Amino acid sequence: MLALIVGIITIIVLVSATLGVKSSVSNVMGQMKGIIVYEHDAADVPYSHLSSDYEEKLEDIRGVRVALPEIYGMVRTIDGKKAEGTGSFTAGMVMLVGLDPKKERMRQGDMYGIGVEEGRKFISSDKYAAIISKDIADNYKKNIGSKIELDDGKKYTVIGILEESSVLGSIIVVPLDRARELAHLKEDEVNSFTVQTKNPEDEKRIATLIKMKYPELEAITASQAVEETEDIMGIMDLFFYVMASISLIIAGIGIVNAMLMSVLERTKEFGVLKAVGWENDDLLKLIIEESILIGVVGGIIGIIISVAIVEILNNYMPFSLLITKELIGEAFLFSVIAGIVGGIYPAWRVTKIDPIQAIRGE
Amino acid sequence: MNDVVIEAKNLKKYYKMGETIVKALRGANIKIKKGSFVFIVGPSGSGKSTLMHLLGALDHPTGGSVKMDGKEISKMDDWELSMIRRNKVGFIFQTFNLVPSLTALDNVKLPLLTDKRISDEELTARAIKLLKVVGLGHRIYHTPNELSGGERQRVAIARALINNPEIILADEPTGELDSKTGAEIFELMRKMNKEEGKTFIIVTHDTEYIKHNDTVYHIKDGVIKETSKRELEKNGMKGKKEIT
Ligand SMILES: Nc1ncnc2c1ncn2[C@@H]1O[C@H](COP(=O)(O)OP(=O)(O)OP(=O)(O)O)[C@@H](O)[C@H]1O
Ligand SMILES: [Mg+2]
Repeated sequence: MLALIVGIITIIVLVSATLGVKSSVSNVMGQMKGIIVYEHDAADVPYSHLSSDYEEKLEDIRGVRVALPEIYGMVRTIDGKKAEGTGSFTAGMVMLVGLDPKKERMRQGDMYGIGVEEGRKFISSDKYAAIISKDIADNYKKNIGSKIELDDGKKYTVIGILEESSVLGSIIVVPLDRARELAHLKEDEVNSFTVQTKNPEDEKRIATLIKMKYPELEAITASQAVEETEDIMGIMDLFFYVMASISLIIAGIGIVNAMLMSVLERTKEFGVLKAVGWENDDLLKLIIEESILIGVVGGIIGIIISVAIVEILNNYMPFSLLITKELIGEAFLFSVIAGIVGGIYPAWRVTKIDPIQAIRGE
Repeated sequence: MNDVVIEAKNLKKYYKMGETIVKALRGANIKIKKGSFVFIVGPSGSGKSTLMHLLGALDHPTGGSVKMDGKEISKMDDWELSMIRRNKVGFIFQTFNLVPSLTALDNVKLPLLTDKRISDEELTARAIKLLKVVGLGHRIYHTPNELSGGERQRVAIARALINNPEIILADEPTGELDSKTGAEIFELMRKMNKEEGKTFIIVTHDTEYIKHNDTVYHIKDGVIKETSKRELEKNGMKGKKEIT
């Protein structure tokens, strides 16, 4: 029974975690607009280095409304001390983002769909200005107008605080030039561009165009990026389902073992039942019923404990674990099936009991 | 032929014990008439229980045949044998074989618990009636370990009667009882035999319960010989001691 309960808990917690991550990631990604352009040979956006010249080149392409340069890096110190972020995705690091203040008013929508909750976005005149995530504002007690000192020893004025986001974690956004220095990029170098089109339907076509014209560039639309992350999520899913299956197998073995023990203990009793005229079918039914009962009870207990665990975890996790009705239904079904399957072998063993052995054996 | 309920011919039962073979029955013949009240006696280890198990459709013989109502049962499969056990015979085991976790009432109900032809109320009523008949009306909710040896034996007797069997096989049914209660049980069995025409096959060591005109079979060296109370007494076999 214990093995079964633990198995069910593992399944529910793992799958609800995947479901939770998936729904929050695709939420955020779904709100992104534009084409992300980065170096073709780079493993990922932060490893890409592009010359600022592309800004003009990209904007020259027909249908492109704006190319927004972006720099990514890490904030190492805040106010002279080691920077500490929250959020599991950034593993306690604080992400640095550089945007061009002169061009930000051209951006359609919010970066990653996260709006500024307090204060404002960048304007052309901003130099030592910073937009910070909510958790940084809370943890470092910063308000609009507060100064925040970064790696370079310079003090930045907080002009905006981002909405709370379950995915992005800790982040500080500064003007592009400042970020370039902080991230130690070369003069006129950026990591990537967000290209926004005049017509949103053109995104895919223009992304292809960019790749054709500049083979050294990679260009993916936000919706493609969502698909890609969903692929990764798919792998995560698979991994979790494998884990879940393993725990199910363990649960199954647990049931077989428990049933077998309880059946062998009662060999004499079953022998007596056979001796007084019970058919093998009656005994089979008895054992299977018993193991289904274990499956049902174990499943219910497992589900109750899982719901409690998920409730507790949700108070501490940056994203919500998601328990759906389907998940509970599946877990319950699994549990009952494990019960049935676990009962088959012990039941078969019972039919092999020789009544005479049971009758004679003291 | 019509009035023979059980007939065993050249019945053999060998047990393999590693290298050696224990020959419990080596060609036993017996014919039990419908409505008879038959005793089987013999020394300990002579094969009495073995014979009873074979006659009661509990075990397969090594050789020979057992016919019940003219039908060969020695070659029946497990399912057919359980049907005979459930519907035709009642067995009182030498070692009672009650289920320790169940009450006296449930133990008595056990043989018919999976039988859909009888409702639970009816079965319970019948079981309580039988427990009263064997004098255990005040102990129906006791489990076996809350009962004395004699009381357990009486539960076993009630259980053997629950399916209203035609044939009752009793392997030392009074072994745990004092002679007064033992006599009561025998009286009850004789009454059922006379009034309801049930066939009784009884293994016993207590010759005091055997009457002079009863049929008695003596089992020795793996074979059965018909004898009588008079003959047993002549050979100096009396009371509870070994009958050799
Ligand atoms: N499963 C078995 N394996 C080996 N030998 C067995 C087995 N069952 C019975 N025997 C042997 O068969 C012989 C007959 O046993 P059985 O139980 O029929 O004797 P019994 O006449 O009923 O004796 P008792 O009066 O003590 O009950 C004995 O010698 C016994 O040891
Ligand atoms: Mg015996």
